[in-house]
Amino acid sequence: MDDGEQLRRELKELLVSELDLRGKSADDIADDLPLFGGGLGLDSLDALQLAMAVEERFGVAVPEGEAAKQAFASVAALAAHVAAGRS
Amino acid sequence: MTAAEDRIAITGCGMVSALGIGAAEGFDALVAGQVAFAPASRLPGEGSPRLLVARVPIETNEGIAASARHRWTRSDRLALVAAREAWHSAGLAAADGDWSLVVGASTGGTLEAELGAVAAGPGAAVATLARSMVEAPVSQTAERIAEVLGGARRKLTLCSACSSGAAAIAVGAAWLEDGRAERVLVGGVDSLCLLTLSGFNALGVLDPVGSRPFDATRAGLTLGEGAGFLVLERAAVARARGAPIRGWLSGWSLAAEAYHVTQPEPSGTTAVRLMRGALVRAGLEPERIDYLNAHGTGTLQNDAMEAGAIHAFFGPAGTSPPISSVKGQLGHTLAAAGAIEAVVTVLAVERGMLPPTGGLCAPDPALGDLHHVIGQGRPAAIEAAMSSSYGFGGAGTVLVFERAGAARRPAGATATAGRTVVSGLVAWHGEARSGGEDVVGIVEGHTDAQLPSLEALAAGLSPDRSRRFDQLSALTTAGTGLLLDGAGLSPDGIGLVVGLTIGAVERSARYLERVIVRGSRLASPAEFPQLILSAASGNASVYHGLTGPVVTVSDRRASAEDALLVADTLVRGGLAPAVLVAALAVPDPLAKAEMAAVYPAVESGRVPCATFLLLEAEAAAAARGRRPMAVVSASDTVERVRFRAADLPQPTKQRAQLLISSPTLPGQDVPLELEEWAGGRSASFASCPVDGELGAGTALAVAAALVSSGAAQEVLVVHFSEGWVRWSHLVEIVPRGGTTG
Repeated sequence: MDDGEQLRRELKELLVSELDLRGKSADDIADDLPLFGGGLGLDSLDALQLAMAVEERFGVAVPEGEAAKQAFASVAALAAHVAAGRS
Repeated sequence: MTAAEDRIAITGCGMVSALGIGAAEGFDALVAGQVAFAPASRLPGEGSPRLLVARVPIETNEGIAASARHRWTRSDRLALVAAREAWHSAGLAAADGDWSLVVGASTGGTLEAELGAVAAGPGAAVATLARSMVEAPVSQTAERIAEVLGGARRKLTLCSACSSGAAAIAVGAAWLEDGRAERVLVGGVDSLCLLTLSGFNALGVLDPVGSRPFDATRAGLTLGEGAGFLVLERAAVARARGAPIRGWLSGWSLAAEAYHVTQPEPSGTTAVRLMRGALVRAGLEPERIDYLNAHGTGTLQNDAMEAGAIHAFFGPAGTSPPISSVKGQLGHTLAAAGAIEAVVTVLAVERGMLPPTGGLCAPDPALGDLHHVIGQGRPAAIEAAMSSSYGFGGAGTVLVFERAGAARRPAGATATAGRTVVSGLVAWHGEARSGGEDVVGIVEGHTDAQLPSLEALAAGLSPDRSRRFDQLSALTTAGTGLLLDGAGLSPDGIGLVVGLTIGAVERSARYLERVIVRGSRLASPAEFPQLILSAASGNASVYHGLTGPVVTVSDRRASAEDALLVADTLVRGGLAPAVLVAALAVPDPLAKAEMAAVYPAVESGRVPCATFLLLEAEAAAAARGRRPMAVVSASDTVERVRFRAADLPQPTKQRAQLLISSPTLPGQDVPLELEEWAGGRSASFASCPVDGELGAGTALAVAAALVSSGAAQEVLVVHFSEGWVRWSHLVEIVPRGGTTG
């Protein structure tokens, strides 16, 4: 498992636990699955919770507004944002 | 009694807010355009913001015995200041007459719990928080006011988030209308605390430069604190004692959006329904409203929802009344807001003065052409005015006030619902108390022996729609679903009253520990809305689409009876065709230990139990072709020291049963005169089959089952606890043309 895959895995587990995705596991979330709107069906409250959790776990702030939409587009996009923030 | 004598008179007002102590001082400051925002102490943790708040500039001990001061929370103190002002301004003295108290509240003693946890240090924070929350439940404030003013017949604590204060006023009005009360002291209170500051901050809805409702640049709300109270009386009662009548409360409505836990329903459909409902009750057309006191928090979503609803209800620009919100000056006072704004609206009508919307400079063009009051207040002829309140979970209340001298019109809609019946029952109880099996057996058909686990409950709920539910919310939602299905009821317009002794203690303690120890940047935005006392009722409402009145009541061990009382009030008052009652005590590991410490006399500590009853207007049940289980003949309370056995409903049937639902506490012996209750009839006596904090809820279920099965023709459930006596009288349904035993 390379670093990128490891990070995406961690993010999926974070999604399931922090957003209380009952009946779902990390394996159910594809890297490119849209997190908001359709896809996982998350809402604005989830976005706030996820931003807080990502900052807590990875020490990387998630932007607000339009930039947040990009970072939160999918697990792959979020992983790229976190990786860029950590380097 | 003539219609005019039947009106609800406002005879007293009291208010405390960041703008000052006293209703007149606060109103004058509002009209002058003063803004009371100032920086709060920085929230815990690195990088935490310094927030603006609207803090009340007092520390008061007036009217509080020196020996008891350490037990008074800031909420208790703020509430007492406003309640006393209202009481005295109505020309009433201590212990004056037979009166009832309704307090809307949400934060209670949270501030004191937080201060205790900070002092205790990180290792002891959770235990300290839990202990404090159990020791000083939100219902404590009503107990304090009742104690100081004396002579209250009833006291009730109600939470529907940010509409609590207005909902408390509506429930008090319903008691005046249905004859349960002649005089009520009603209002709301909340105090600033870390829980709400960190929570709203985490939700990103606090405006860094201060709330500017309806402004194009608005960016959120500013939290405040305070209390507002009104004395309401039946007009004949006020006139008989020569009290000055300061205005009329002529309309009220309660409803829920059933949309989302924090987001307002964008369509504003429920807000329109609320405004219409309150005006129909008042017998007024929309064009008769000369002032609208808006909820107007200053958040993008609330103000947009509200503006849309105002346009939809009042029609195109030019026909909508002048509107304003106090929240740009004295902040959003949460559970107090609806009551403070009711006091402001009463004063606006009384003085003919429109208060402005503080902070509003450039009205948001996206909100359409609203008739704002900008800068300072201005005089206007106001015959009738309306005040709107909306809260988390979608619970809203609208109140309509009229000028004291307003010409009398034909009366509006009044309570027409007739008798309330019990038409459904679901009950769970944890550990049945020995000696009660014979009674419990009667409800076996309706109960499960053990409270289902969260996992078991969650399995029956949609996982996507029950995320973040704890066992309390899951149980409330599951029981609600079972009752609705069993009764074949559509949830539209149906209400829900949840009775709880305390809220989510462990969850709140863990949230706060995290904020205190690790900093407010790690406050959980998704967790915060689940910590409010009314979270379970709100969640069940959103899940099932219950759009009637949705509130939570709390009164220690009597929370089950209070829930039944409020549900009966809502049905009889024509506020909903049917209302679900849920009385719940669920396992909470932290609370169990603390409950046992606080209530050492209850061996079993926190016994899990859950009782759900469906209350319905008799005509509504009949229209659906349902045979109800029992008639709710009476549901009431009185202070223990004023209790006389003769106050109790007397039996009229051959097979009458008295059920004592009190836990067996030393020093709370059942009075001997109760044994005379059934006279020569073949009455039997039993004590509650389930001990613990809400065993009284199970007793209500047992009573309904006894009557429904024919084992008894009537059951009187009596509960002695904490200085009060409650009773609920359930009587058999006599078929048309039948005889009464």
